[in-house]
Amino acid sequence: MIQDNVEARTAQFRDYLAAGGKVEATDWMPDAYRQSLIRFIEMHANSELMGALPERDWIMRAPTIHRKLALTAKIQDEVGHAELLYRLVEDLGKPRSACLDDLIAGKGKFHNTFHYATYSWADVGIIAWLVDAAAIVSQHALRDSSYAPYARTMQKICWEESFHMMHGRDMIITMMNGTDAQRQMVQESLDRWWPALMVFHGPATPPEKDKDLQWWRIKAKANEELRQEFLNVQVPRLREVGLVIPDPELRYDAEQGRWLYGEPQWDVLRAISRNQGPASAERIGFRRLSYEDGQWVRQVMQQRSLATQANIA
Amino acid sequence: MLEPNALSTAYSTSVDEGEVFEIFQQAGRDPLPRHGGNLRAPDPELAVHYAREFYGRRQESDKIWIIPRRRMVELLADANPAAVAEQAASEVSGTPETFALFAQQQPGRPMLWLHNLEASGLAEAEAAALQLAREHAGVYLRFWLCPLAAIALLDLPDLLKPPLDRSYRRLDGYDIREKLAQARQRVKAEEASH
Repeated sequence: MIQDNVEARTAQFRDYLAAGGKVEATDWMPDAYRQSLIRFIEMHANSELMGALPERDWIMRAPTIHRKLALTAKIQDEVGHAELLYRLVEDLGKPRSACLDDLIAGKGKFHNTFHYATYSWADVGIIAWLVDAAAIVSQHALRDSSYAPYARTMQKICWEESFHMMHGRDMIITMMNGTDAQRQMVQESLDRWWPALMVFHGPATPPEKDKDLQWWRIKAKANEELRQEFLNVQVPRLREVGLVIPDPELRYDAEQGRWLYGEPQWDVLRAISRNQGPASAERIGFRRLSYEDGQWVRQVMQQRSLATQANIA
Repeated sequence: MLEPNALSTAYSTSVDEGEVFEIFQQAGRDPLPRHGGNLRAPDPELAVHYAREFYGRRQESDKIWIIPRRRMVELLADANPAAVAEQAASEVSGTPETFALFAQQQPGRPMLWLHNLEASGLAEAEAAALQLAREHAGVYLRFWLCPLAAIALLDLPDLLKPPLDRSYRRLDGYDIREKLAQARQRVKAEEASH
């Protein structure tokens, strides 16, 4: 009887989503929807936090004071995004501390591009331009998410990511206008990152098999559609400054109205999804180290918090 | 499908990690303070500084309101007035107070501050909100109410609009037009020489 009730309510809920309905944090929602939101947004939050690590390595090596300030500001944004997203996860029922514990235990997931090592200053530019551009494509679509607090957070995050993309593009164009050695450094960086960018939006799962998309409307666009949007905008922008995209099969097919490309490295993506990417262990280890280093700060804050709560009570 | 729910009791929060503050922000383009999101802070003083970092560091706010979530009550515009009155009466004593009233007018859109209202306690304030919903049928979806005294205001220009050059934090701080033209020219010249 109770079970029937939940099923009927879930069906009603899905009809509501299918009609474009929006869900607020305090609304009733099926547990499966709640769990999907937690998994999806927690991974997003983890990615923002872990994404700060490869960039952090370059703060002290930034070539000018302006670049250093901009990079520091970007990193602050990314960590700020993580905090906003962990808040959403907390309101859905999983505490931030549990998310961070899972992350440093190697159980938390984070985005594929943050499982790679960085080798040059050009990597910082390519990440800021292209990884952020790929992220903006996904995040723009998430502004239509059925979960309204997530959709609204995306508005803010997209606005800040657009700074990062401009910052990255500015860096890359500056280097492309520089010496042959600089141009070569940028080309090598693009060669390194392109395969990771091609799997960024995930496999071309048929939309009807993607539950986050089809059932719960957490996502509003299919993976392949996002990848095509990314290619549409960025391929001409890369080519116009003299960069060569390292995929001989990449071309726009006017008949099909889409980009064709060589088979992306799905096996690497699968390994990364098990946290077995090229730099996964190092990154997770560094996150654990930072977490332990910050323990005394959390203790001080906890004491402040307990004292305040005692005053309120 | 939607149920009335007091925000303060809807979430389980662990005390030792601080409490949650709802944040409203207003920039030049905003006619009214709008809900920006929320944050968790160890105490009200740090909440103000966190709000500045999370909601004002890129000069996007002229004014930020910081409100402890436990002081905020949520009310659906189509809630049953009798049931609401009964619940409110059990929660708060009826002392005269000014309340801030916030409303969501379209699905998915952020809460906006509407106006302040005088009431002798939360029950009366909630009744006034529901009355407003009846007078303007179909305009409001849900309300938030909090005592005006619970709102901490941050509007210091030194914190929100620092007079330093922060061009790297502004979108117009990047002008790539000349550089891009130079790069395109170089590529064209190289293509021509091949």
